[in-house]
Amino acid sequence: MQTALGPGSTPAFGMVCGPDSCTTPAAVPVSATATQPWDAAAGPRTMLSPQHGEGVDAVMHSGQARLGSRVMTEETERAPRDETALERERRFETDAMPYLDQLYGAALRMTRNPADAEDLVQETFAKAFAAFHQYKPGTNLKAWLYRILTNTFINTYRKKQRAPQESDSDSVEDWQIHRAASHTSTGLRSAETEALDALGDTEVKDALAQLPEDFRLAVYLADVEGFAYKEIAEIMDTPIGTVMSRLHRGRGQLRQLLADHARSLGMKVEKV
Amino acid sequence: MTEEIGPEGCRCEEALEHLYEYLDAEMSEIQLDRLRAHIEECTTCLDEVSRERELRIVLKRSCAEVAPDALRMRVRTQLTLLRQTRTR
Repeated sequence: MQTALGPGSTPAFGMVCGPDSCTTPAAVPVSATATQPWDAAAGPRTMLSPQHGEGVDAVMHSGQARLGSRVMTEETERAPRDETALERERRFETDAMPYLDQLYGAALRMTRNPADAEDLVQETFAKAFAAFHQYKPGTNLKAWLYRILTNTFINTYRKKQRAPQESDSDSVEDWQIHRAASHTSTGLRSAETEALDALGDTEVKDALAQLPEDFRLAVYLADVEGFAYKEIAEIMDTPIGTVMSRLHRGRGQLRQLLADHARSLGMKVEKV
Repeated sequence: MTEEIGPEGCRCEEALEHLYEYLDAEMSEIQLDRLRAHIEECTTCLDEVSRERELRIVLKRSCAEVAPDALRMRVRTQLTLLRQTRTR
């Protein structure tokens, strides 16, 4: 069945855009907004189709469990049954609009330029609006919106930006070694906190922008937005282990960048 | 105190290895308590914790954004348009 947005066809925490459907926001046809494998073909009961990688299955599975919709009936998975389309649209505006500033902030960190960030946010709202009947009231709306934002970014803007990417070798040993090494490295430790504090917002944002995209996103979602590992895993569609590894490496790199920056500004980071 | 995980069992090595899980509260209560017991008594670990906390404060402060009014307008206009498309 191709009408993927039809009743009962999507997990509560489902994605709404596919690789080729993220085009002009105002003209998103409803049928084209759900071309992800698990949206197009699978309802909650058939989600574990062979199309998914193991990681996706694990994530969607845990998401389902956490959001408590897996055992629910079709009626309770979606918006209240007696709600009219107009009421639902009003509810969307009331509930989603307050996240505009936050989503814009995240979009800025993702795209690294205001024009793309605005387009990305607009597109995110269009998609969320079109898919809002799939959102299950009472679950984490913020995470749901962030997942749409992230997916839209990955499918549309990442290709366009061609930012240099580090190979995605998030090996566990790597960050464990990093942490162990940082324990023994001394020098720029004591005054680091002070120096950090003295750095301006622009310097901090610039440093963040230098991180490889996956690290940057993970760090942003955790440290700025305060999402739990599990939520970040769902938003970034990646296993929790990968999230942890990205956080370790991203945070480490960010700290190093900021310390370097502080030192280049002549702050007394070393030898205090 | 349970079997092998008494508070005295935690050392710097372990605390630092799991520092992020500790700061992110992504471990069990028992583990959190264990690490906390060590960290509160250890200057090295305590320093590390406050540095990481400080970094987050700085990051949050720097990344706070307000969406431009033009964007707010665009989104609202778009939603109105989408709604009209549906009702037609």
